[in-house]
Amino acid sequence: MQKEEIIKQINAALAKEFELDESMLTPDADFVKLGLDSLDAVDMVIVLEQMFKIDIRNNYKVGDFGTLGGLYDFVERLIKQKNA
Amino acid sequence: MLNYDELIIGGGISGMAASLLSAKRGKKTALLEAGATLSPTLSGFTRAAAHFETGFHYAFGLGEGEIGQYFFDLLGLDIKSYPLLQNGYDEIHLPSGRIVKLAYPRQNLEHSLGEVFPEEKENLKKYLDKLEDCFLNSAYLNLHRDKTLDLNAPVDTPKSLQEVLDECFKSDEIKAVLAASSFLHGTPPNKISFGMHACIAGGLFHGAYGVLGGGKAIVNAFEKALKKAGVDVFLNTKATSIEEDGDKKIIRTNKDSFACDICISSIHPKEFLKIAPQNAYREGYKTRVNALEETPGFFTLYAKYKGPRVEASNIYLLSKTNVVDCFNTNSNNPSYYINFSPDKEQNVSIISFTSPEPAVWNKNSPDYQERKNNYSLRIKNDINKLAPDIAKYLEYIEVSTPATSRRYVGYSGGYGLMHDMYKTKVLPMTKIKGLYLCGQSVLVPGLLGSIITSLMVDKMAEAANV
Repeated sequence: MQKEEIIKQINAALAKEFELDESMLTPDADFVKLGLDSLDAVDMVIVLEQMFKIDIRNNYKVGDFGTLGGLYDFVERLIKQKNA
Repeated sequence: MLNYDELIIGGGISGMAASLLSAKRGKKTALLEAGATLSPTLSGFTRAAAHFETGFHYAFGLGEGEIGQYFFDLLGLDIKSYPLLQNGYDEIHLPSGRIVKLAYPRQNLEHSLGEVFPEEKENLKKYLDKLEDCFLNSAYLNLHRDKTLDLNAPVDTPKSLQEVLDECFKSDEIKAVLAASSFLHGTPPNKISFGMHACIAGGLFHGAYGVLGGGKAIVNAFEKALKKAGVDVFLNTKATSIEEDGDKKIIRTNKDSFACDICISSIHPKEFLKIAPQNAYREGYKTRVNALEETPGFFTLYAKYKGPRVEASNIYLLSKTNVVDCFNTNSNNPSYYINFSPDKEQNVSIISFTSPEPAVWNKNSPDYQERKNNYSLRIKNDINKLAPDIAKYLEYIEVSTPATSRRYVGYSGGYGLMHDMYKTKVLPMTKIKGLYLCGQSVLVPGLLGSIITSLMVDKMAEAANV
């Protein structure tokens, strides 16, 4: 899967599941400023894991990503690992 | 309008624990229970001069210095436990006709299973090491852990119980014997994470305990402690809505209305969603929680046992070697779990899984009684065939269906929601400050699981400082 496609799918999911405006979903957007809290964070992990069939919970280390751009890279890496 | 600092909805074990913890912080606390008594499942019932357990059979961690005893002391509960199954065993009857002893504790199990499955001896040791590792590394369950959590330690990809069994063993029968304890939490082996299963089954291999006086004694101890702590208990009081009024939460019920700063719900999460304020969650999360699967409903026969003492504590009659298939609630060929009370009477409950769908067992449907009778008859016939040496000494006293459970606890899945590792988790927090969830469907199941969640919520309530 190409990076653009991953970004498109993540943005669509975040917009739908977390009621966010897609225009706010830029790589430098940070999660706190988007209004997401700890409950959303746990829930977002489940949504993305199911969508891409990846395991985020156990590959994540504190500080891995704080912005949307970081999340795009992180998910892309896990998808590559899975397909490797 | 009645005013409280903190209010807990639902008077089961988790709600009672949350109430005690709240009062312990010096709060003016109310506990609302829709039914006529507190914790009816745990209390069991008495018929024909015999007492039957409906919720409590045995638990782990109740020994001196162990986690359960720590909780009981913390909550001020006077509960006396005693070792059970220490040198005892459960019996697993496999579809092939083979009967295998699941002995406790671990060294007995290794010995007894090793004799039946000599070629799996090494695998068994490896499997039990894994199980014990998970249990001993649980920050929640093991008070004596000698290591702290290393956040940067590499972690294995979480696996289901079934995946781990498939990796460890060749024989399908030993897998069945070890997977049978999934009946104790109600999530099938292909959906429960190995870690969570280990925390429950692993605990039992460490030592199972009974409580003097059974589940009823646990409830009595809670009632006494609630009274002593000054918690106001409102029975027959069903919460119908929760509203926000500034920082206050207004709880409407079938009787009085209540205002409080902190509200903790211990009822079934799907029931909570019906009464929670709109903005408690995002729509997507609500949809995911509402889509979560219930654990199977219980169809249970209760009987007096008049025969010579049965040495096994529990007998599992498995209809399928693949335990995942034993969770099929529409099967024409169900599995059974037969529990003998540990006292000298050895009263018996025979439990089979059935659909938790309210429409399937509905007391108001015209054919309910007839279907219940037919189903009971079929179970009796099955027991006559599958366990004739026990069946001939049984005097059947009572029957319960998922509709009975719904009447007493408001839902029909025997253990509430499944803890499916691949699905959304029900978390204790909501979007509203001072509004929380606990209970066996949240985070972890079981007696100790429910209390652990109440403790977490208590810390959140304390930190919220409303």
